[in-house]
Amino acid sequence: MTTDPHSPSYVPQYTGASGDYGSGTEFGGDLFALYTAGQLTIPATAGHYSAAASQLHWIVGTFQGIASDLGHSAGDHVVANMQDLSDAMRLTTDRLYVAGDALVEIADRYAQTDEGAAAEFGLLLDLPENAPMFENPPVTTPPPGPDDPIGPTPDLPQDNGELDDLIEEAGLEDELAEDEADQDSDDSGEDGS
Amino acid sequence: MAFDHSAFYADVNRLYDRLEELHGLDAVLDGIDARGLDRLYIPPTNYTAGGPFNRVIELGQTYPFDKIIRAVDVETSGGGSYPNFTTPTTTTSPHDFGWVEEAYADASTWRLTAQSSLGSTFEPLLEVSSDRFQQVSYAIVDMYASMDTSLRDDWSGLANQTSEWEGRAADAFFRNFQGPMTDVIAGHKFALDYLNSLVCGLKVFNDAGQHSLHALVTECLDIVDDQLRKRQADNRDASDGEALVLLATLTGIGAALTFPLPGTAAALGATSAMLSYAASSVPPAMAEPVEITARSATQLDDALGSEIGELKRNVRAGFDSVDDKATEMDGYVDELKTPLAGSPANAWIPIRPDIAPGDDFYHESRNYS
Repeated sequence: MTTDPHSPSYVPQYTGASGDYGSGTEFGGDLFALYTAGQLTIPATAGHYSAAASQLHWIVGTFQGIASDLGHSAGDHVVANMQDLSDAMRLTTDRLYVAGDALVEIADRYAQTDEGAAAEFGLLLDLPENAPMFENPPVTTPPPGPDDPIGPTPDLPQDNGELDDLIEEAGLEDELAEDEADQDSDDSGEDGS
Repeated sequence: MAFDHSAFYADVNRLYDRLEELHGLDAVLDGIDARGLDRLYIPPTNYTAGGPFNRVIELGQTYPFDKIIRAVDVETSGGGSYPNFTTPTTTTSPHDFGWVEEAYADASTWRLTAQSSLGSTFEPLLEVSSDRFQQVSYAIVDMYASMDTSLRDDWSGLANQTSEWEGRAADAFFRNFQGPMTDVIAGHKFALDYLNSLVCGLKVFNDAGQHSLHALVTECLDIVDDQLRKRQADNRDASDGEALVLLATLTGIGAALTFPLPGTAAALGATSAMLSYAASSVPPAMAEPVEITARSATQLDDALGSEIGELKRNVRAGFDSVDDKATEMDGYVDELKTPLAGSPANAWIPIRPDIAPGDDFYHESRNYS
């Protein structure tokens, strides 16, 4: 048991700390909701974003070599667009982690101010259907910086067949087909046929 | 089949082997003609084509043939002259055939310079192999698929908490950070989708350029082969051939490449088709037939160099059209970066959350406690 809200064995504690931010069991329940988002799901999203940003960092670094050999401004333009996205994903990752930490701090601080809320919050954390989720919270994994090495080649499809399998599993081809069907339907409606 | 660098260079070497042969052969034939050596001495009796006044010269390697030429210069005593003589020779002087070896040596020198020059012309088209683009595209699709399946913006029902929390900071957090996160994720996926199409677009023109290059070399191989056959048949007429060579830009290849529009489904669902386009040959929709006509090694070398120069311009035009699409992407991203109406938030980068324990972020239960 610990009062460190970032620890897997965290238990909310009423300490009589000053502040009136809410009260009662409903307050406790919503603190649990904030804490779950801040401790688990937002950092999980941040982790996925960080992984995506890492892969994009590899893509940018690899394509810089291609653009250099291509000898045409189109390659450099694509690199610039990739770097723009890479910067955006890096910032997004950072801000997701900031948001998660802030919600965890709020949940813990507010639990300290209301005994009923702390009790409800702790009860929900301890439920058998909830407790296992908090045993291994996502670890903060910052994405690579723009000047960091690009790292090893990721595990990629080996040919177009494996690529098609990946696209099919993600349901992306179906999305495109539905979109084209919708477009065809719109077009025939315009024709009046 | 993907562009085969080894096979291409083997064909270039074979082409210049043949061009060198043709160059040397034509120089020898021209030398024979210039020296009148094809005007044979025919003695009235005991005619032997091979000598002693004539000789057989072996010409050609690919399609070898023999040519009878005059071997000596003859002075006759009275009467008789080329092409007939009735008086035995009084003096003969063997003709100096050192010029034949010089002709072949000159052909070798010409070949080295010509092939080196052509290499300098076409090397830029071969700097990037097709599989390098393909690998990047695979990585983008893999990344997109991963984001599509793993990224969540509801965060365990946090969106349902918007009515539970009040205060300036709470409103700002849910309205300007949590709410727009859906748009930010969608914006990033759109950008990835577009980048994939740009990579595939560059690959298409790169591949088509390489296949066109090989098609030109193959066409010239056919032409020089025909020229060597013609020489065997004592024919100096021109030969011609045709190859499919890249001409189109993006507008000319229509639906072969798919670029996404904001709010539509992922174009990268068609990645396999985009990567396959032009991967093994120049698609007819991208190309036009190019004819080359030549009657000598230098003519053919010049024509090939000229066509490769034109091809490089066409490849650059293709890259230019992809660059135009990259500029379109700039416009779409600028729109994503534009703040949403009445909000500091945009669909490109989430705002930095400004929340902390305090009176700007409190629970609704405070209102009735």
